[in-house]
Amino acid sequence: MQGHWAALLPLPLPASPSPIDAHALGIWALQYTPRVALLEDSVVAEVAGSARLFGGGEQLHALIEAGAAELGARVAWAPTGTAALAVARRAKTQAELDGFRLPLTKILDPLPLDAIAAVHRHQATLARVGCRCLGDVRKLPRGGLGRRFDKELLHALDQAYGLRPEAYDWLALPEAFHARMELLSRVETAPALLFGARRLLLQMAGWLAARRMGATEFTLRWCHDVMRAKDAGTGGELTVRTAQPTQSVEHFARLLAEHLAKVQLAAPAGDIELLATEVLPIVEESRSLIPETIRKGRGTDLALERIQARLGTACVRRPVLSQDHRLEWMQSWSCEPAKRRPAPRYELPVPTWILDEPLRLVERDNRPHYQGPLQLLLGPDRVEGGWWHRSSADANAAPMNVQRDYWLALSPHAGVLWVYQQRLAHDQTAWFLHGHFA
Amino acid sequence: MLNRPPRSLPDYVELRCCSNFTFLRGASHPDELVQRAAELGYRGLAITDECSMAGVVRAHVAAKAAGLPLLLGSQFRIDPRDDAESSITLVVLAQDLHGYGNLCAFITKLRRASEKGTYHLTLDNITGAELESCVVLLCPGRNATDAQLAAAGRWTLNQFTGRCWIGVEQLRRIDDELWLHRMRQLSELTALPLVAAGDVHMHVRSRKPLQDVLTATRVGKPLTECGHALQRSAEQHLRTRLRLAQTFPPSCWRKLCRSPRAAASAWTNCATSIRTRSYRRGPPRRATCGKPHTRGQGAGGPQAYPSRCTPRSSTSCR
Repeated sequence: MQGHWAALLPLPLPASPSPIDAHALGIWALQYTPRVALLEDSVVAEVAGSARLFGGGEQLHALIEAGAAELGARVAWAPTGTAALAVARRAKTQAELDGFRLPLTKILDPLPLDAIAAVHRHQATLARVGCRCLGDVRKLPRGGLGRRFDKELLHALDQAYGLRPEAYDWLALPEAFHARMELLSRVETAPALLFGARRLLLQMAGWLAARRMGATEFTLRWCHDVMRAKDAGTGGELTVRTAQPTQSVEHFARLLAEHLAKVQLAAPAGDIELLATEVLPIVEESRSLIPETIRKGRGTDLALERIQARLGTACVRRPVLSQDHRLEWMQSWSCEPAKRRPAPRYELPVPTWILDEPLRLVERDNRPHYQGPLQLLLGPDRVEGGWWHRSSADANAAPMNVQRDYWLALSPHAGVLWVYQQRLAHDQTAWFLHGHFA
Repeated sequence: MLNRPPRSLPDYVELRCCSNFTFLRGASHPDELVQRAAELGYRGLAITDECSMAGVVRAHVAAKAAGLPLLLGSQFRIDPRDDAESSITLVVLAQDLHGYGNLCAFITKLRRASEKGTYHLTLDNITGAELESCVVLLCPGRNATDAQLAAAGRWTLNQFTGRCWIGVEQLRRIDDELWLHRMRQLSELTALPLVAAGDVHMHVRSRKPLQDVLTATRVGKPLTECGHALQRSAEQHLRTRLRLAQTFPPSCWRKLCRSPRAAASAWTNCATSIRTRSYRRGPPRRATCGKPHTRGQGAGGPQAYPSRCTPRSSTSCR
């Protein structure tokens, strides 16, 4: 499989106000792939395996390039790590940084000899035999090249052209985060520290992302320079806490800015350093298209469990829908979490508000009254069942059998009601109010 | 509507009624159903077990004793093939001996094509020509959409032109009037006449607990967990004619009951002919094994049934 390598080359001083060192850059790059290695003065990273995770190759290119630009590094892409580094060193325009635009040999051949360090060591000798670029070296007889120069030259060339596998010592992620930066100029006011601190925050966010952690506390320290007043001390520090673990640079920067606004520097600061003092595992936001509602539901369950543990099992109840034709048994409150999947919704309309105890209605002229005579709109809806149901396990407990004719009734004052007619003892019938429609 | 007495009690023939030979559904014996129908003054009763004719023998014995015209038939659940169709029930009633033979052959075909105790029927494997001399009632489910209803109505009309009705049941549910309205629309759309059908499962309402237990056994759950699988009410019994007159609105009563009344008079003859012809004394004169339901055996001709198909109670009938 063809590799997909990125070479991150820290920009030297005139281009970047405070050059980042390769190790810090490598730790930052670990958030995109575990295959990050230090190569000479730069970082190479193999990202073919992570492209899908970050939404495709182009998306990943954009992410890494944007991050590297903010940190002060240039990124080049190529099928091999050595080639990517060579391109990063020698590319003159933005388009040339992409080593995939042409076949690899056409990109590498015109590059000068100092693009690859192993070749650069023999530049004087090679120049004397007429080699101006890597292509010239490659055209030389391989046997003679091997005998005359050291084997690193052939190795490096083969690796660059993808003829020999590249083996690197992958960079290991440190357990704790600590980054230091020398400021370009002395900073007199605390809010101005933020400009330097932002790059450290970026590095910290990269480290947190690589560790799948979120910071709940971080410390910014600053050291006063040697020209300080005697009573100023060596420096100061500021600790910032967040409510919940997060990796967001914007959030860190906003919090830090608010805290720095209240700080008065005793003397100008020359160095700053950032430490992640408290980190916790974080539940990351999914980058998938479909939002993960299941996880949020689990959060509710966890919260309910905690409340239940504190208040007692019987104090927390949840509504349970059940399949029953009888209105009062269609729903119930249970202390146990629902084990079965919820019952499908009943397709006919049921009232929104149900009375706990059905209310017996007065009758005048054989018509039920509730805040006036009721007009029966629709019905009857006969419900019979529950003969198997007893109120308790007691042998002579009352059966919960129902035999009712439900009607949709309209009351002039109370609106649409759900009433039923039931047969009582001695061949009498009675009307009851059972619910209101909203 | 409830308390308005009709001017006269209507003649009624129950056209959709399953006995306990529809296993784990029907909660009454066929003879109980027949006796109850006779008590209530029905003009006739159709025993329509699901994909089975097993109940007709007992029903016939009881009907003969009670002097009730008996219609023989069966009902079939037709499964949908795709989303454009809904599950419908087709009640098939034999008009004469020929139709009875066709219906029995159709049931045999279905039963032999599936595992024992089951059957599977879609619109692909049922045609009107196969069920010659039979009349059908289309009984759609209430959850069908209008398009599905129209499709089912058109199919029935095409296959059974001139011998099909739409069976409407009114079971004291809140959506009864809406259902009747939709059925009227379907009737106007397809020119199929409406006919009242009760989807009877028991002869008296006090059999409801037994019916619930049967349902629980069929579903395979405890009674308390059956939920909506249980019947909502005990209305699927043989109702009194007064109740029927109150249940079906007077405006549509005439239209609804014209068909069964006409059908009853027409089918009484058929039923009698089936009765007299099929349950004869003694073995058939010519057994045509392997071709049990030969057509064209005219009236009074030799019987089409082989000896093994002759109902067991034939000797005790007369």
